[in-house]
This record gives sequence, structure tokens and C-alpha cells, in this order.
Amino acid sequence: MKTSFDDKDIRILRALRTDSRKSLASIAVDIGMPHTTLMDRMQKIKRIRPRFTTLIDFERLGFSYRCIFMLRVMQRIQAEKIAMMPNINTVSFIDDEKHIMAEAVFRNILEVEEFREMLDQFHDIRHFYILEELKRESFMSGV
Amino acid sequence: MTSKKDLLLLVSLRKNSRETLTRISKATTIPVSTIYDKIRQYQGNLILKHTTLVDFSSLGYHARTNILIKAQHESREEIKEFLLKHPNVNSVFKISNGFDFMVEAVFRHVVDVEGFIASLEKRFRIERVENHYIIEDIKKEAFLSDSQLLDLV
Repeated sequence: MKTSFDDKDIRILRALRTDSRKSLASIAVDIGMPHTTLMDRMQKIKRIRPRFTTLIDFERLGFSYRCIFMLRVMQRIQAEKIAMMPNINTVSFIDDEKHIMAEAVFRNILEVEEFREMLDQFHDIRHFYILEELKRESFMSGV
Repeated sequence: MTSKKDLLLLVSLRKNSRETLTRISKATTIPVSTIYDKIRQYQGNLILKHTTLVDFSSLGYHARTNILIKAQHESREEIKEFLLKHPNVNSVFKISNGFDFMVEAVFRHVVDVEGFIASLEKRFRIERVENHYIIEDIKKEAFLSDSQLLDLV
């Protein structure tokens, strides 16, 4: 059964996208909704399995190199193996089910090169360095 | 230098930012009061934002794309400001190797993506655009979200 969301649900989601640690009681006050109503609507929102996470500044932790790799895999399992690697932050299929885009984080250039060498088994490899993050997870967010 | 305990705290938050301080304390053996202080201390520097990752297609946004943009030098600052303010732009990065920006954008329909790109090309001096529709997320914001992998990084 497909869940449909109305403006009130979107306002709750927007609040959670802005600050996922905010209490439901605070969100209820902010958006002018009774707490019990918000709790009910949260049950509906949970059906789409939101993931509450914290975005961190990797560079401040000593991971000075952030890269994007685009490549072609022959089988899905290869993409899933890449996704399991410890330096990986994000992996998505793009364009079709053979091409992926992977974002990875490294401490130094040596780690980047080692990872890049490991990818040599794949095809159509493209490599970009992320020089600066200007905006992240801003869609439907107050910030 | 971030301690192992601090990393465990960050991992807990990456895994579930709505986890209670009591549970985080049990998992990390860091006292609740210390966790509270550390979260406040790290806010705005190490911690950029506590957010919620959502399947946008469940909300009616069926077109998600990564757009690579190469612009003429004089247009770059303008494009950056435009992308920072645009409501459909989820993330923007400055990148290397032949392009200036990578933009992740979210729209209801493919035609809206095409319209967005067309408006960029009309409004700014764009040399090259590459559009890559995101078909499926295999992993998202996974780095440092699993304490078992901490020793590997």
C-alpha cells in the first residue's frame, strides 16, 4: 500500500531534515501541531524508513581527501563489494544498472592511489577530487 | 586529535542521531554528561548537521540526479550562489578533473531536471554539462557509521 503524505507530514519531515535530534515535543511546538497528532504522523513517516544520521566534517577528523569515482561494473555484486569497503561513504547506481558513482574518504594521497589501483579491474573509471563541500543534504531542510 | 571514544560517539550518531544519550553512554562507556558536552562542543565544527535521510521517491520526487558542470571562469561565482539557494539542489561540491561543480538535485519528474539544466545553460556561461540520473542508492552516508570498521580506518 502506497503511503501518501500531506503538507503536515512534509513539515515534520522538513523539521527532522533540519535537525534530527530535536525532540518531537519541540517540533510539535515549532510547527504548531498537537504532540499526539505528531506522534501519530510519525508512525506513518516511519513506514518510509527514514534514517537519522549526523553529517560530520571528515577533514577535521584527519580525512583530508574526498573523492568521487564513476565506473562500470559487470555485476551487481561487484558494486555491493565496493560499497562494503571501509573508506566508502556513498555508492549509487547511475544511468543504468552497470554504472556506479562512489564517494570515498581517505587520510592521505597514498590511500587514494591504493584505492584507485584496486579499481583498475573495472572499466570506464573516472576520478574526481572533492575540493570543497558547498552544500549537503539541504533539500527539504530549513538549513 | 580525536580520541577513540570520540570516534565511537560519532559512529553512534552517524548510525542513529536520535539515539538517547543513555543508550549511547551504555554503548560507548562515556558518561551521559560528557556525551552531552561533547555533542554541544562539536556542533558547528566536527558535527555539521544532524539530519534525516529520506527516500525522496516515496514523497513523489522521482527524479534524482548528479549533474557535473564545467563553467566559464567568470560565471563560477554566480553559478555557485544560484546552486546554494536553489530549493531543488540537495548537495553541491566543487570538484576537480575537468569540471567545476557536482550537483545532486531532486525533482518530481525527469522533465523538471531537463528544465533545470536548460535554465542553467541559458542563464550562465556553461561549457559542459553531464547529467547522471541516480537509479538506486546502495549505500548512503556510511563512512564511520559502523563501529566494527573503526579499526580499518
